Amino acid sequence: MNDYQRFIRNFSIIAHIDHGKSTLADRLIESTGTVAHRDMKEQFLDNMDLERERGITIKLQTTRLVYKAKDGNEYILNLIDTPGHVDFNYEVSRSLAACEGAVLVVDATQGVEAQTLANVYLALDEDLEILPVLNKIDLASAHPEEVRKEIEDVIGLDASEAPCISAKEGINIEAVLEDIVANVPAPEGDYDAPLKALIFDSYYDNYKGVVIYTRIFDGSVKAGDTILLMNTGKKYEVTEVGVNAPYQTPVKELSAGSVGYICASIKQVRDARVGDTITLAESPTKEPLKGYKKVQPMVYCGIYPTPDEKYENVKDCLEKLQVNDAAFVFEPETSQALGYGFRCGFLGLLHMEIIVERLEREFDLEIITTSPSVIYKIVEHDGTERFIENPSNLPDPTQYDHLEEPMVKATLVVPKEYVGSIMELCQSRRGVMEHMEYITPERVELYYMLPLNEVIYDFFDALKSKTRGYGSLNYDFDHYERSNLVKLDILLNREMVDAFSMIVHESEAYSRGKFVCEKLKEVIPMHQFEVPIQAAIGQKIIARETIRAYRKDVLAKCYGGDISRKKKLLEKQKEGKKRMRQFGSVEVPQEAFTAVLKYDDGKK
Amino acid sequence: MQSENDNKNRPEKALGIYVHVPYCIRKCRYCDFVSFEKAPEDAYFDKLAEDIELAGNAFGNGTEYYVDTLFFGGGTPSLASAAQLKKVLDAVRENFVLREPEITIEVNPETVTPQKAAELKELGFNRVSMGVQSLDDGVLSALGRVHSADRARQAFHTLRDTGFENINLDLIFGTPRDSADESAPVQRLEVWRHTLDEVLAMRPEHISFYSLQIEEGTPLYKDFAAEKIQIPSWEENREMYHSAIRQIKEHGYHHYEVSNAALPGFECRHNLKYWTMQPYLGFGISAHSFMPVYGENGRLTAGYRGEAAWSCTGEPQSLADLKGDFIFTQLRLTEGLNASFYRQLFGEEFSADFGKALEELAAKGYIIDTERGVRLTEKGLDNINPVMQTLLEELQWKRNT
Repeated sequence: MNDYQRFIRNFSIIAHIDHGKSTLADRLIESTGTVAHRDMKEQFLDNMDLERERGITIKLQTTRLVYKAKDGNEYILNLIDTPGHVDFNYEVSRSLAACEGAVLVVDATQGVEAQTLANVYLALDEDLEILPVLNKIDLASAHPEEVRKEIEDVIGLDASEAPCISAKEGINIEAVLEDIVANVPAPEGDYDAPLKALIFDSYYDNYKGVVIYTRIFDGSVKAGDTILLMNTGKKYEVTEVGVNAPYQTPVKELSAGSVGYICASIKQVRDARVGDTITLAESPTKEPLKGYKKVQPMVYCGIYPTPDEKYENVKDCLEKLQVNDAAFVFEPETSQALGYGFRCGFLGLLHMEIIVERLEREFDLEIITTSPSVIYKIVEHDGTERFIENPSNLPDPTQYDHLEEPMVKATLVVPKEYVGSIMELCQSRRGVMEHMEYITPERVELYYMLPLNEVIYDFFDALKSKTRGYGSLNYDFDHYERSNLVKLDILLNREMVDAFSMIVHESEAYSRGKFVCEKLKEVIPMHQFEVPIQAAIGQKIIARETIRAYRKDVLAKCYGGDISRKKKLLEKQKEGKKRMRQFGSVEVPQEAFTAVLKYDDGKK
Repeated sequence: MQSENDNKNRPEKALGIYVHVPYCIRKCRYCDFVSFEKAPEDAYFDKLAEDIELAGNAFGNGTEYYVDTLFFGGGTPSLASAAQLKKVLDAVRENFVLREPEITIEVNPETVTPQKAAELKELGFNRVSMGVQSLDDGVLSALGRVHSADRARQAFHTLRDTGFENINLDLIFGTPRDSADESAPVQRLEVWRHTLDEVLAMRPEHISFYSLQIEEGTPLYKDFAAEKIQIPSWEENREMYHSAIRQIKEHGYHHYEVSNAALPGFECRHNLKYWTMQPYLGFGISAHSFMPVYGENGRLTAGYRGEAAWSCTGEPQSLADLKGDFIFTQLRLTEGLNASFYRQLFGEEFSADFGKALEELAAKGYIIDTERGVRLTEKGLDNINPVMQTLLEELQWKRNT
């Protein structure tokens, strides 16, 4: 081991959502004096507004802390933050691969949750040293000793030394730092070997191009070197290397064992994919690092400009987002109802929501999103296979042999009193239980094989609702499975609106059709005439609702303030109707497209 | 309109002022006006006074304008204290020239006490517009009104006893009805006729009678969409409307606008400004202003319409906008629109601008020629939406070609 590496510790913080990961990261940064107190924003690492608002980390961040330990030595602690949601599991695994240890934050009021376990398994896969920490001990409902036992029983980790802390109140933070110094192994790279570095994150900067976050395993890299990205096979000249302390600070070189960033005038994030191995073009390392995987979108939806929005604007913004997000894909498509737009692919529903929200908030776009869909496999009569991402493209059933849908392996952790209702939920979503286990006398872990199609609509909301927020979920794609699926169409005033079409299992077609009709009845305003809403499979109508007619005499009253408004109403100008979309003679508000997807408490 | 030589010392342009008072005891279930369920706040009235002073610089003392109508609308202006109202009235009196002004205040029967009525009289209000809506408790409760029918009757007499000689009563028809009698979930024709009979016997100088509008976002809308309440059919609604017009006329009232009638000489001068392209300034939240701009030949060249037109930041109106406003408002008057006034304002013939649409509407029996121009027929009054739409579309089509 090179001597300088003795004073480096590379670690992540892992936790179930809301267990306090970002707050602990803030405290570590603050207590090592890395960021002056006055510059401290709540959750320093979550620097997108959206992340702070939702309290989740989407884009990961990395920070270099300098800590003077009790042994008198100064240590460099590289904190590699990880995204906190199931959609971003692969990114989590690559961040962990860049570390030697992980601080496992467990909420002392809640205990071990599904993502706690999922993250621990990921960390164990990377042979990390795991340091449990019990957080939120300032709360009256904390029961640290039981949770400590739970960690030992469920995960099999020794938690006897786990510090009890409160990240929020800043209690016992130093114990965590000492724990890291004492128990996370120092890196063991060979400085003289050929460069071998892992890309664990990248983002696009307007001035520097793509900024790669990397962990150097062997060798070193500096400005002027030509690097080779081993999986994509692309070469670039390095323009800058540096560290986040926590703001980007250029350094002369990055050497084995350290963590930092590399800029090399790369134009798109997809050219520097997470998981790829960086080496030097002149003297490459023999083998790339293991575990590279090109992330594939799992969920698709259509994004269309509203009548007031320009198609080109939407396209520009999607391109801008794509530069920064390797997992997000899009291509042009057309809808009879919505005109020209895009079919967009995401890692999961949260990823989708985030992108849609960013388009609306950061880019101020007016868009309509259609029902999300998974990727179905069509097996033709001759046995050949193809995939469709848009339900409206599903051909007539006579045109193919059968359909297959993606299945996921889901892990759910729920308090025992909710096991019954969760089993009911999974069953109603066509889940098949593989096994179940009491992780403590109070809490149960359930393993299910579930169709992804069922998970993306409202499963998560239903789980939260049925367990009063205590249930947790983690899932991974497993395989494609033959399934009896049908296309459900929605007709407004007897005209089909393709943007509402969805593929559902035959057994649920009736209940979903009914649900969608009811929801649309709630959100579509009354018209001068009755508006029938129908759900159909092929030619067969399976559900129907009617929106009441209301003949509105808008001109009964007209005084000063009404003149412009009422005149505009009659001139069919768009004021006040911006988010309406005309289908035939029926006006549909934007919210209709999302309302049909929301979980309804009244629903079984 | 022929104002070649403006004499600064002798203002000759009449101006209306509207003041919005956005406070209510409780919001009615059908109401989509801006109003808050809280006690009137002094700061709001202070701001009104400030705004009025500012506007006075441009349109008040020393300009060619004088104020001949002042209207306090709401909300419930009668919820405001005498001191709050006085603050605003003083601001108007100090900054504008008033000439034989009609000064109206809207009141809710629940707020009318002998003391309140005396205060209003003392403050200088000479016209009171009271929201009665119905004299049937089942209708009042379905509408979410805070007062009873008895309270409204009593309030009317209190106002009369105090000496108010120009009173308007607002009425609503085509409503749902709360009733122990399950068979009568809506206001029936008899119920409406009965309210009107009683009102006519009280002999107010002015009556407004509105067809209930179910506006999006109101509690009434929600209940109606969810089929929790019923309203009379469109045919029944029209029957109520025409029956009301007949009844009102029989009693000597002049039905002068779609929803307004008055004893001769008591037509609301302030509201007439809205329907005849006269200038008015609005103060307070959601209030609107309209200030026309005339060229040297006395023709309308532009206008400002908007929430703060008095500060000249209103939305400029094109000539086409103004033509639209002209027909949109004047056709509401039963005497119809005045073709020579149109010619005078725009320098063009009304029949040339709307020729094709006029023929189409006349063929359908919606409009009919008069000596001075054209007016809506009874059938046209029932179909005022499509009539206006046809005319506005003609205008848009002309503009686009």
